[in-house]
Amino acid sequence: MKSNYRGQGTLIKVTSLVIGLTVGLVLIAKVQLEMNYDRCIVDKEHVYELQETFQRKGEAKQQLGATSGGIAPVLAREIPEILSATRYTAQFSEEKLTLQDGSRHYFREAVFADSCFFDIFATTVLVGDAKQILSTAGQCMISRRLSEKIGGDVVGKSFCFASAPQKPMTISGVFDDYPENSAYNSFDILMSMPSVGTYAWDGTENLIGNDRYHSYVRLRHDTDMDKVRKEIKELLQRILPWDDLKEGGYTDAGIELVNVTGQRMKDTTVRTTCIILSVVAGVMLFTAVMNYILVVFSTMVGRARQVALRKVLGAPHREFYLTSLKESAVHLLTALAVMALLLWAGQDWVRDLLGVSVSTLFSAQTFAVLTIVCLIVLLCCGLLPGMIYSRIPITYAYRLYSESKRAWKLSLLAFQFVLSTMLLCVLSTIYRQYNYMLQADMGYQYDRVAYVNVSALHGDSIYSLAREIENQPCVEKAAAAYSLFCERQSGDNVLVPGNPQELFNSVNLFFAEGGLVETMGLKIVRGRDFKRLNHKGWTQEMLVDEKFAKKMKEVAGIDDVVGKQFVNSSVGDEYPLTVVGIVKNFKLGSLVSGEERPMMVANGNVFTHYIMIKLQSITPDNLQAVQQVCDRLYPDAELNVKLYSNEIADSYQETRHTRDLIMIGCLASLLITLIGLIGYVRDEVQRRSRELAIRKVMGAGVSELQGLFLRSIALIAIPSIIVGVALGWFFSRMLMEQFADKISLSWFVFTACALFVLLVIAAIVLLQTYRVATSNPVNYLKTE
Amino acid sequence: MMIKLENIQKVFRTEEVETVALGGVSLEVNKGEFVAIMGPSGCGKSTLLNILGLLDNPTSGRYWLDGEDVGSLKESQRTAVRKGQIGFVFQSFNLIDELNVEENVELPLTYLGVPKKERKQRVEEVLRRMAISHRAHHFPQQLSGGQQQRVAIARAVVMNPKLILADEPTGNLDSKNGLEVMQLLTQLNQEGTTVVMVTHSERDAGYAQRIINLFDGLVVPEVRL
Repeated sequence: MKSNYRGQGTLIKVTSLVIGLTVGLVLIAKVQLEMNYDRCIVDKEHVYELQETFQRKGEAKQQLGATSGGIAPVLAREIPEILSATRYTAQFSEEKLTLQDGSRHYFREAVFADSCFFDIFATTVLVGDAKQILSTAGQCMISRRLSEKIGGDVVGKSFCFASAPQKPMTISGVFDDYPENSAYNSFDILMSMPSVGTYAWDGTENLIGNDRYHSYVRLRHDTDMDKVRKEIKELLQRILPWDDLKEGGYTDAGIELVNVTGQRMKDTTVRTTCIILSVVAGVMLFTAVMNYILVVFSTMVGRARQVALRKVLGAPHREFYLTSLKESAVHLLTALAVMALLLWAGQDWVRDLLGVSVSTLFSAQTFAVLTIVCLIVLLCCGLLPGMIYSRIPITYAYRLYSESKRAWKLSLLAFQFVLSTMLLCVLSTIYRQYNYMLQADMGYQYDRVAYVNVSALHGDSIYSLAREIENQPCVEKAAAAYSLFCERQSGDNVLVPGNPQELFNSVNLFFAEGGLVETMGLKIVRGRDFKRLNHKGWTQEMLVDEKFAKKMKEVAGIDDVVGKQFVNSSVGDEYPLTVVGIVKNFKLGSLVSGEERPMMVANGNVFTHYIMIKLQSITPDNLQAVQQVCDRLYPDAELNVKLYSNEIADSYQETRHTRDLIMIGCLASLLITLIGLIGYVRDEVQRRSRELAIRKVMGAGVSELQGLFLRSIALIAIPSIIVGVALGWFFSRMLMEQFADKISLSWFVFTACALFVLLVIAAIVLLQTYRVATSNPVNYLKTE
Repeated sequence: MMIKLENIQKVFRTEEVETVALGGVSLEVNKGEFVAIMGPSGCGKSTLLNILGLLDNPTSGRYWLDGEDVGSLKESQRTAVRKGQIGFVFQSFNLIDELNVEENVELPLTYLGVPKKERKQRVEEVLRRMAISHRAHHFPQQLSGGQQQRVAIARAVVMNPKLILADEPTGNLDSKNGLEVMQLLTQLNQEGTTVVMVTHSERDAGYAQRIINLFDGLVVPEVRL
């Protein structure tokens, strides 16, 4: 059989494949990258993360994804099964460093790492002796991309961080960037572990407390895990200060070994997102292939005679399969070429959407899987039509091909309706959830709030800047604060003075100035706000939320916390803090993470990182006015005025990306389905044109003729849409599991989605049939 | 007067060619008349029949059907006028393959909105009249040409139309079946239905009371039989 690309719906076939393959392959590649996450960890099966566990009297055992600084080295020394151990801890992120020559360069993350870091997290060390550098105080290694940004030849150069301007660090080595699908890709600066004391409190040898270190060990291949766990338990029994722990209210403490293999996929959000993306990818590819086959069915009339004639002349079945495969290969390659062009044109957009570059998406890591997917698509698109052609009866060589293959076509369409409806339902859910998160009542008002990160300034400067900003006519209120409410918060334990027992863990917002309550629109339900200090400093006053008061009543029987003193474990019992007011509960962190702990904050303007600004209104002029104050007072600090609402939106970036991906999948799936539907109706109209003409002559009106097609499509569309809604409900529920604070699924919205799909189908059918229903029936009777 | 045409023209235009199918036809057909339209191939017989049957609009001229000016109606209006008033009989029968005899005949009644019970009654009656009742549940492909044309005539007359338009009704039939069909049409005409028939056959034309001859889209002088 001769290959034929004309009049065989080639454009529709290739368009369907382009849409299906572009969305499908990109999503499969993304999922594949997630499954290959952190491949830089050498000998993954034997590498374990150390996680601290502890239990308080009457409470459930808790597990932290970190340890104190001294745990990993001690274990490496004392447990013979441990071949190597390393730890790192984050210090600076997303700020600028200043070189000696005064040039400033943005970097993503700076961490302290010990000398064995590269033993576990492998990458090529391009310059320097890593072990020696990471063992020497004041020295660091930087990533290749940062080195290139600085201009190369970086060894020996010194720099200071914007938030630690007087503390230089020397570059002694360069390492190759970690892959994009790695938690370490953001690491631009690895500072030696002995440098911790220069920038923070040095807890590198601590066995309890200051548990900010990510610790990893590699075990021997023949390790008996039960034995190692037992050895660790015995070791901890010997080395931990158990008396202090018991006095603090702890009944147990330990170290859990968590294998890093597949750890990324254990994260509910990542796992759910991967499932959803896989489903969308599968839907896209399936829909595209089905549409391809649908077009083959539709164009059968034009080809049946040629096929039958060749059969008469003795053509073997193999010939039809080979021709069909050849045609599909040409279509597939054309589609892949168009896809490559599209991805090249939209590479920035893809990167923004998926967080990885197109080159990483289509790299060696994903090549095998993507090739297999393409081969499956090729076989489906090639073999099925081949089978259909080989079954065309020889009799069609001398009579008109009249098989409608309606059952096949309708089955394929039914699948497409199911999948499109399902995606639309999931899209509606994620869309509503995202909007809900943006508009949710957080318990504070941020619609007029802007902020400035003032980490680069000292206490006096922060105080002066806050007051100067507050004096602007466009500013209603301004106050310094240690953290943003929407950030992930750290916590400290709370004690009653004179009692060593730690009662519970509370989010510690550390310091806030008087006026933050008003700036952020918090409500005082009892007591009062902080009194504004007129100098740099802090007082032993504390504000807590309602959860704090309730918890205190539960665990310590204190009915009214206002006026009472409490000890915060990070400040210590030398400085007990007196509660001056209780604020109404408000949401800390994001609605994804769902912070449930009580909250406390002390009165002060020291150790604050932000100035929160409530503007009269959010206008470009008002933001500019505040920016000008910052630039005028501290021109070298590079302070940026930002909208708090943008920060909230950024905290839901993952959700937004998931929404966008599902939206693309949904639109693409709908598009392919509509292409298929248009083709089906067009062919049916053509096939039934004589019947329609007869009916018209017999008195059928336009609506009655359109009704014929509507009814036949509705018979398949309505059950398909119902199945699609049920599947959509199932996947929406799965998607919602990752949110701590979520919308409730609404049958109303799902019904609206179903009606929308039904309306689109009806509109297509009505439009496609209108022409034949309104044209002269004689034209169609003449064709006989 | 059942039909009155006044200077009817029909011109088919494409980008390159303009074809005059009817060049100004004027004619009258009385109620209860049986008229045959004859002429060589391409003279405009079928075009004229399509205009008479309100399947197509003339390019110019006027057309009165049963006193109503129908020459420039819109598609939907033509359908409404056609419904129940005009029955069609085609050379190639034009039955719907997916419907059985009963359903094919019932079709015009359905579009007229006749209640189901009455439809059933009328279909049974007309099938009996056409002597095809025993094939009521057969599909068109299961019938002979003559039987199919009888079904087509049954479908044309089931809603008691004032006018039957027949386009070469015996063209696809053998002489015996052709004769039967002509006898049926004559019988219908005798019962009061106006019949206009396009034919090539002198013998079939012989059943008509009047012959209208067309040549190159124009009526040639009438011959009264």
